[in-house]
Amino acid sequence: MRSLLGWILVAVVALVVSVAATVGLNPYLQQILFYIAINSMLACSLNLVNGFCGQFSLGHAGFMAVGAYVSALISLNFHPFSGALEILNFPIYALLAGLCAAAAGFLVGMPSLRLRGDYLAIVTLGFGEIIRVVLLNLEVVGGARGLYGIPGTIDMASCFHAFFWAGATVLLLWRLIHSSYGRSFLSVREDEIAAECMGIDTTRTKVMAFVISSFFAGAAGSIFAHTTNSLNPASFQFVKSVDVVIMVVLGGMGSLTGSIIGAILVTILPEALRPLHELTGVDLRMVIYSLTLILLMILRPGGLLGSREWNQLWRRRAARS
Amino acid sequence: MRLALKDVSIQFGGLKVIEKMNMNIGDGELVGLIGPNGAGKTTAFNLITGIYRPTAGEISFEGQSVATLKAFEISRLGVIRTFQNIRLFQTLSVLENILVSMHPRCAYGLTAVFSQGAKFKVVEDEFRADALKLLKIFKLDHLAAHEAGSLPYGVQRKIEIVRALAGQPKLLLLDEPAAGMNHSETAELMSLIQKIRQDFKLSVLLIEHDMKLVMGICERIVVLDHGMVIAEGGPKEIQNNPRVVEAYLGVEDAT
Repeated sequence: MRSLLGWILVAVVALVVSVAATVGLNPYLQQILFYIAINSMLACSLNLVNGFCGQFSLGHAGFMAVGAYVSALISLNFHPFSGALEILNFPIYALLAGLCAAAAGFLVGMPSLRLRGDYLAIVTLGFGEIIRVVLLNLEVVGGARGLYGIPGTIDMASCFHAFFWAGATVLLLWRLIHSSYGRSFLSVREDEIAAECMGIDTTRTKVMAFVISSFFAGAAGSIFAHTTNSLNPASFQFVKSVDVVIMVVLGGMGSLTGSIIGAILVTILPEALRPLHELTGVDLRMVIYSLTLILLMILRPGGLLGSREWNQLWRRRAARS
Repeated sequence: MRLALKDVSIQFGGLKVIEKMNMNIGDGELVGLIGPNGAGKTTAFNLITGIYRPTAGEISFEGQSVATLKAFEISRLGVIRTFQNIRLFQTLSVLENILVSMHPRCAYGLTAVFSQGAKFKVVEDEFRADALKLLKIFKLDHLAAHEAGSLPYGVQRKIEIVRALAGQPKLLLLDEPAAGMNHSETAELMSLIQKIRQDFKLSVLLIEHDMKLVMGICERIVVLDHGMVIAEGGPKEIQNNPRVVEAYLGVEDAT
């Protein structure tokens, strides 16, 4: 029953958003909505590693790229459903994309997470760049030209699909961090030596978090691919990874609610400032965007929500139970 | 014999911190490990719990060699410790701290987590009940929801002991459990250590500088100095052992 309730909630939210989007919004705003779904998935999944597990991954764009390209390639060559049921292809693509990204996550995480400290940051940074350069030079995926004609439209069904995935990401991660496994993630973040002495296999724990995180990044990549209909290695530059880190830090490390808010803000802010550009003739967007971030970090160094979730907002200190 | 150290040595570079240490701890024994600062007591703990690997020698627990096992594997065998400089999971609640050390016997998998299956609820409820029961023994159950790092020092020390107990140890290692406690707190701790040893059928090895505590509850005392065991025996023997007096106070000048 409890299990079902969560899924029903996710479905209802996705349905409401998708209906509202198709009825009330122009294509530009619809596109932004898709990016919010994608970025929420990225931010929440990265938060699992960076916020809950206390590691520092800088290569989320790499895993997203793996997912996006895998999904695009599969969709260009393989459609199990056609006609009216075409939309059912996309969950399959996203699932496969996620699994491939998770496999990549395992390969990257296994050696680097055995060590304590900042090695993961360096390795994942390298991984992100390697993926991009490989894609740039791989003729099968179009090299620098990228991939075109990837199936997918922006309509009610695809919007539902995107938001259902985003909701599922949040729901599943929420359940994960509120379990014994989630507590083991937190213990690794708090004190790795103490965790190890309490019988927590810290390497396994970190790899588990990293692989799960990569899975959702890959699924997000898949949704991205079918939203933009074209892929280009330039979409997965280092800056993209940094963007996701910003969402996580801005919202609060160790808060899924924060990550969603961070994702929404970072997606909307540059767009919301667009009229200013037209008004003044000078592109101040990035200046204001960075100033906002700096200010936020000065005023709320722990991120907007710290480590609190939506149900703990009124508490001054997060008393966990 | 629960724990046996045989000729265990460790050196860091040229520095020999522990040299040919021999020590045995039997079932249900309460042993004290004492010695002047820098004698290698905490290093001995780190060796036993697998944080360091000995450069030579053999450590076995219940007949099984543990010198090459990882720290978490040794912990799962039942050797669990507390730390001299408290290492609680600071931002987690007291209850969560306890629950973490129950994780190794968590019976549900990720599928049960994601589907919130029946097993998930059963195990979680059981864990919580067990944790609260343990906290109650130490009269800490009213603090269950508090952030561990925000509590007073003495309370944090006790929580560390509860956390270790939650891992169902057979051998409990206490690194200066009374450090920073006043007389009445220490006295309370002494009776508590004896009580949990009986109730949980534990062997206990403790490092402590508070001689009243050590002499009061330990059946046997091992004295380390400069990485070597210089004396071993009952409290009375140790107090009258000239080498121990020498290690602590130095030798009287002959002239």
